[in-house]
Amino acid sequence: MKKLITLACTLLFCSSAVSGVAIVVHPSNGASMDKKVISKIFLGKMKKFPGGGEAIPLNLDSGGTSAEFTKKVLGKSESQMKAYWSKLLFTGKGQAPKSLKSDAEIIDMVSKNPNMIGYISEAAVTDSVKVVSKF
Amino acid sequence: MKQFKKLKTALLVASVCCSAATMAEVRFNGFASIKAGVVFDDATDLNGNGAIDPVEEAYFGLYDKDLSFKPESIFALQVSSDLGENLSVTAQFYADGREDFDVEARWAYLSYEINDSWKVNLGRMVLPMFYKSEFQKVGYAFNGVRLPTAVYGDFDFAVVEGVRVDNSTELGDWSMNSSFGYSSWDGEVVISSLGGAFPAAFKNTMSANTELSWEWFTFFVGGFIAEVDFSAIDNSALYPQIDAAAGAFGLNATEVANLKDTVKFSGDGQYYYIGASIDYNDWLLTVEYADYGVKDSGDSFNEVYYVTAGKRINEFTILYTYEDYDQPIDLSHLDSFSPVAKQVGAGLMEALAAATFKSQSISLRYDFHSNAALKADIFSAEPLHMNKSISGMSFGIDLVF
Repeated sequence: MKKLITLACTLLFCSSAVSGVAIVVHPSNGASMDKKVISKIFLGKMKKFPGGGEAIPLNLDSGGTSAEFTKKVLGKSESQMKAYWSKLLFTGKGQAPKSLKSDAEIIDMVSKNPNMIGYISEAAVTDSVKVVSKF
Repeated sequence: MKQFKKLKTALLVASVCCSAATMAEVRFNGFASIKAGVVFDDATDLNGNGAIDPVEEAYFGLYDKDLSFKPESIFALQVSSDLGENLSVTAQFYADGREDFDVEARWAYLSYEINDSWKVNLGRMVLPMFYKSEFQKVGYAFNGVRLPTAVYGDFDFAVVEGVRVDNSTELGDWSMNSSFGYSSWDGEVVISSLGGAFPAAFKNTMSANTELSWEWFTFFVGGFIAEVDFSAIDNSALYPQIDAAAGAFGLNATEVANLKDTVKFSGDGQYYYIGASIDYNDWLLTVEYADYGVKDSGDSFNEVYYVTAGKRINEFTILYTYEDYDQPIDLSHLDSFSPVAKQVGAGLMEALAAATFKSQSISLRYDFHSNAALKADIFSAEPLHMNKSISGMSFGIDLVF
């Protein structure tokens, strides 16, 4: 039984990995963003969208999509990211983006605020957000 | 004094928690390390002076032959509150095994974000002496069990009060993070070669630090200058020895005055570091060199460096570290003295020199949990100019929450 659950989890994880990560913003956000810009926003190095306007990144809690995003876009593991933010957080130099529990919560926040940017599983994309990039 | 410190801490906790009740968003974060270590060898008379000095009993200042969980275990809780309009307040309470887990506010400051590039912090902070000093105690933030002790020792004047201005600038693909500080410190310094603690102060400390990074490469440089007041050490430990020697060797009053002026510990403190690091395809390399001391004093400049090289393999990071702590004794400012006075001065300066060493270690980090890392290392230190070594091992867990 345990093995079956493990297998099911692995398959689930794989399917979310296969579906890819979509970077989403508010539908009114016209900024075009490449990987470098997205990476700088999520590392706290860039605080505005390329066209101006405050950029507020949102993270997903640890898991398949989050791990995929940090690996593909930021080029780091989740542990490396945690170490990166620990250095900044405990020395007064920065704070990790707020972390939400699910794709649905990201969609909800991003669809209500033109300053927000998040990432979700590609399969979870809805019409209420705009996809600026896929990885 | 300690009671007063506790009272101050209690007041700080109270003030942050009171504001917590009225503010919308209060963040609690923290970090902890639970570590244990042991040194394999018995204390030996390394310097051949016929006695086991404190420095020889536990060369690293950390462990001895009995396994101990105390010296490198740490608990810290950070409370911060966003006051709105770019203003925030943060306090970090910190209990260190080395200090019997007495709670101390290592950080307590107000931050104001002027704009996206500039931020000013006011209050109690850790002095950025070297590249990683500010997060020296946050074990999770680095790969080794501890930062190389040749550079990252425990400095009594590490926590200061003042102002720090931070700047972050993006230059194309490069990122530059700098900070500029003005601070002061007063407290006690422990000088093992003089066998005690002495009141001391660092005044008008001015620091500048910058870090320039591009994809997998980072260059860093920084330092500070300060008016170092070690007059208690001068008056109660150094001068009496010069007076005693003067009587024994028949030095005249002028020579005694000149000698005191030359070997005194107080003066202009100068601390610098420079280095670079690479994190390329999970291969890691960091080199840092630091040079520090009090100019024209009896305490010669310290020259310290380390090289770390490693590889990240999935959840594991293996790291080799070579470190070197040297304090070449500079007797050049005794050149104009008479041979006898020179001998007295040189004798004192050599006796006061730090316990220099070189050391090697291999460490392993295993990120077994999203908030915690398991670490272990083996190390071997060799005091300079002595044909002996001390080896040991340590292990533990670093976590953040």
